[in-house]
Amino acid sequence: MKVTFWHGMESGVNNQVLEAKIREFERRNPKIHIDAQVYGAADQLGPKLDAAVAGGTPPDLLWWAPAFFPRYAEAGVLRSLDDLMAQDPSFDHGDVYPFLWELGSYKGRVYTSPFSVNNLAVYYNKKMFREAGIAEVPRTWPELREAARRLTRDRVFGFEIPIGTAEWTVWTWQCFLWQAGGELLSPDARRAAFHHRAGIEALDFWRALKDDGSATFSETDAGYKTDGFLAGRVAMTINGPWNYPLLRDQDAVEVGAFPLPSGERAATNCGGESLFLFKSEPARERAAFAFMTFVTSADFQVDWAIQSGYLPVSKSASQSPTYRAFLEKNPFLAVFDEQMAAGRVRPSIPQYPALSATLGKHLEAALYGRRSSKEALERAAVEVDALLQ
Amino acid sequence: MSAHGRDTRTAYLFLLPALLPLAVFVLYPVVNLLWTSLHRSDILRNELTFLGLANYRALFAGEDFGRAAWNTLYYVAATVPLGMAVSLGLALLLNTEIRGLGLLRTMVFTPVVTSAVAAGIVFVWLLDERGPASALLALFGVKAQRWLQSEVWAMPAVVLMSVWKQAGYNMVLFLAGLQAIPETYYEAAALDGAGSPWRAFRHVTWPLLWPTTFFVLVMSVIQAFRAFEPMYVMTRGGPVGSTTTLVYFIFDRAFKYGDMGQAAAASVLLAVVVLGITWVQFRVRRDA
Repeated sequence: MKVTFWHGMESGVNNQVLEAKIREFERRNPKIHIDAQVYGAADQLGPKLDAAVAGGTPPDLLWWAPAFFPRYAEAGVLRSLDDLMAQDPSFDHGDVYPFLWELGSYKGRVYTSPFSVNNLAVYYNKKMFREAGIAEVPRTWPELREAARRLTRDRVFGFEIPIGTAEWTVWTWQCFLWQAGGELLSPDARRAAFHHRAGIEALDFWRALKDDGSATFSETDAGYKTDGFLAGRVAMTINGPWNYPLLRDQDAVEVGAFPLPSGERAATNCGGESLFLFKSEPARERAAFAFMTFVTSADFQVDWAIQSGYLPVSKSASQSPTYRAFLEKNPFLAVFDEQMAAGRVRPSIPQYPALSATLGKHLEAALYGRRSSKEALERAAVEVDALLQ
Repeated sequence: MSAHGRDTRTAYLFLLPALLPLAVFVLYPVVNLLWTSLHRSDILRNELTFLGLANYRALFAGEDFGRAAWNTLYYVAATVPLGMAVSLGLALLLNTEIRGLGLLRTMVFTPVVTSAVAAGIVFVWLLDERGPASALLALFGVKAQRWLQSEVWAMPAVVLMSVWKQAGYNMVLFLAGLQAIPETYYEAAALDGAGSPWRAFRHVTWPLLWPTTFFVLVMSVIQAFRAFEPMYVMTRGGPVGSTTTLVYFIFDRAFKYGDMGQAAAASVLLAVVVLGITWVQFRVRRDA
């Protein structure tokens, strides 16, 4: 039985780790062959997947951010997991963080099973901090702004603003929206809520960093790339734990991480990837689900987390002595682990991709100074309201 | 049945192998496009909800479509004349007997056969703040910047890449046109006093090359209206939509927003515009 599995792990090390785990799964399940294929940047998957679905050739399993699944659930191409989980005694539903099931549910059914979680924090260049005489990492917005100013020198910027219209920009900006006390949508998810005071403050804060001359734009639509940071062109950048192997295996920059600064409150955006199961035939669906069970097991979660830097999805894995000992030795990853407490998630609604594209477009216009933050967000809200109707 | 009727039927039978693919791959998609443009349509689902002309109205009500139309005109108006001038210039230069001519022509033609994506990525690198373009311009006192992240310079950069990529192809067409002009005309012109290269070009080359020039013009305009790869690879339509041309807009609507109806409506409008402009070009040519 061949199960096609699309994923977007571009980093070489993570890819090797995944391949090894897949071989392990195949040894335990000799009748199943996992055909893993890399689809490239996760932010750019939408068009490819839509074309595959429209053409009737989606993968069996897909590794992607859960925020994107409801559109496919609504279209009726995803297999819901409730009965599969109930039938499989080895699938430990209760061990996984409840918010992940909430995130993976749409209209009362579970559609995705978590693969790994992560959240956003700030990477910083320790050497540059020492040279600028900054002993304590910034905890608040004003402290971050001040640090960015002090870190900026000839050809080095203190901070990097993730520019573009793609999801990365929207995803990172939401953290600041939440920190300022705002929300993306109204509680019933029928109206935009990001255009009120908190949203304006969050966007103004990014603009202030740029106006101070202490922040530069990232590569467009690619704020997740670490090139500028690792080349020593920026001292701080927002990113996640998954670059851990890459950062570990380089010695150009001495890397540290600290939690995203607080506004009114602390907040980060939890991401991570879940597995989507596309409808096919019962035998293939069961084979694909067996891989989901394997991925959720504490064994896989601990091994994967230690080797790749992603955070585990279950309590047993997160609390396992092996993982705790590992975090002791890796303060960089411990930052992300501790920050899970302040973690929030994007809404599970079918309109999310279109919402993200719309908001992204207006965020960019404001960051380029085309419009005031208020006007840009209000325009975005009008368009988002129309999407949600 | 008359002999004539039988002949006609035979003729249609012979045409069938050509007409069938045309119907399947051209006619059907066109009709389908028109039909989709009148509906709300999600790529993931096969259901259509009839909207009448609402998709068209939405295009004209929003600002993005107008912006994309304007950007398209900018792109066409910049790439077509510049591209034609460059390729004609290259053709005139390379329409001689010099050593290594084949090699030179091949070099100019190479960008045409290069993948647009690969070429685009090279241009992204060339135009980086720390790239060669900035280094070169620094010699003239121009401040280094990320050219592709500038609302002002992103479009010229995309135009530059498109011209570079297309010049070789049009050069080959011009070369063929130039070589079809008999040498005797130049000799006659020289005897009549049009001896200088400029006068020979003005009074012999240009008028006799006109059929080629016209063909290149029509094809370049159509191609420019349809441009997509340079924007997709180099700028993703940005920054702030400054390089979002109509085809990129259509792609965005269809695949980023999942709105096939509006994308189809925009495609119909683009097709109408291209058809209209091509018709005007042919009219002008006939009248000339």
